[in-house]
Amino acid sequence: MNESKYRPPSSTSVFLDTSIFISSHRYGFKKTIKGTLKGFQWCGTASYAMLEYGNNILPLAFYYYTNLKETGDLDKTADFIFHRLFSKKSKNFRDPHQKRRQWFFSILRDSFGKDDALRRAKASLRLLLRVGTAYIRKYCDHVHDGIKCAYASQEVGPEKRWKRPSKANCEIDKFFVGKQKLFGSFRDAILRAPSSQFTMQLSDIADLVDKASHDPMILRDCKMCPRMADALIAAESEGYGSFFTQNFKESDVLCPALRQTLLYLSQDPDQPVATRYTP
Amino acid sequence: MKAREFDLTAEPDEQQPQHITDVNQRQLRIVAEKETRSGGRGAANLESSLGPRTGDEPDQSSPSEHRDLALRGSRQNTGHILRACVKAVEDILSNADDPVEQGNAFLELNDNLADLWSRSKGQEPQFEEFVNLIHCLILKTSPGDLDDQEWKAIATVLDKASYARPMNDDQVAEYVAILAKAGCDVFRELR
Repeated sequence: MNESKYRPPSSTSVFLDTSIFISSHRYGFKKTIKGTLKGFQWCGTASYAMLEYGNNILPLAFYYYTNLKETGDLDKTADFIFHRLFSKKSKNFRDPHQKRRQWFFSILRDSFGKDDALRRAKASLRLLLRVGTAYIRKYCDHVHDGIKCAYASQEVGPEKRWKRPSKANCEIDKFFVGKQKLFGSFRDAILRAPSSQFTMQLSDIADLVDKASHDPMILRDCKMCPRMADALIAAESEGYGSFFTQNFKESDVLCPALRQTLLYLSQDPDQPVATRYTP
Repeated sequence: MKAREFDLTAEPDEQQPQHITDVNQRQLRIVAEKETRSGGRGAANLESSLGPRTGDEPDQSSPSEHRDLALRGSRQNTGHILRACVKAVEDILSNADDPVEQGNAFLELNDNLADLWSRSKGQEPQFEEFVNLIHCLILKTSPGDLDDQEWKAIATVLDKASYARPMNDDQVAEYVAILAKAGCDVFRELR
């Protein structure tokens, strides 16, 4: 497939980062996302976003679904998962961001009797699992798949658990070689960035670009490529006029290298989308 | 498409709707009566090979035909209700300046969706999930909480669904995407 014909005029196109799809399941963000996308005629994303969405949302949905089936009680499941996620043993303890991983099924519990609410909660989770990463594929006009990760479009369902990548089955090395110049410009932008903008992810990207320039095969390691995630998605977005994300720190450094307008969706759903133009 | 299969010997469970269970029970009774009258399965077969019986004619159609008929009938009914839902959404849209008419159309939609939900038990799980998805979009809302684009998306998927029975994974994924693209708050019930 000729990828270039899927690159629309930059001024009317927007590229969506994984964080946008994940936040579309959080309270209050839907309207803001919709309002932002209204201004564009073409919306694209990367298959890597499908992978990240799968890694974040689908195991959680499967965990809830399995627990609902075992306990047969919505309240018990919600309490159980709350305590598991926020127990002192859990790494989520005291991490306020992990609260977004909690589901309470409030509308169902308020609107229906216990049995009906349970049946509906199971139906919702089943649907989320059944739709899987197709949610992203169908949401966007095009999904760019330069990395060709076999895990990104894996089939999942109520009985089929999402498999996290463990054995490289992709063409990430070829993708890197094809866009080596761009990755080099990412590294340069990171090294030029003031220390206040520096993050662990950006440091990892600069380090891995250096190493992969000598041996691209090192990227064919499922523990390695998540460290490059932001750069991989940014590289797929080349040619798009705008990049819509919730990861401000990394994108603020990478977008200028692509001459993109950064659209930042705040963690607070009441805040409007911030726009940063690349001169 | 793979045909639905039901195990006649299975206990009725939550996957099996009442009307299917009724058909199963009736078929089991017919088989039992046949065997009692004719002295066992072999005799029943011999009897049927000699030609049709006169008088009290037992149902000659197979249990699977019965189940298919029941399921088809049930799907036809849900198709009608889905189209009634489309009509209700159209009324919500066309009565934007009449809160009473709009409110009544909204109640009509809610009632129809509740009816569909009660009928969805035992049909393909995708259908049950779809009905729940749509119903949850309007729970604890009023007609004005959704904009025209969202209502139109709901009407579109309801209309598509009314002709797409049985529903498959790909169709239901497409419906979710249509709703999400229009800005509908899909999966809000999880929160």
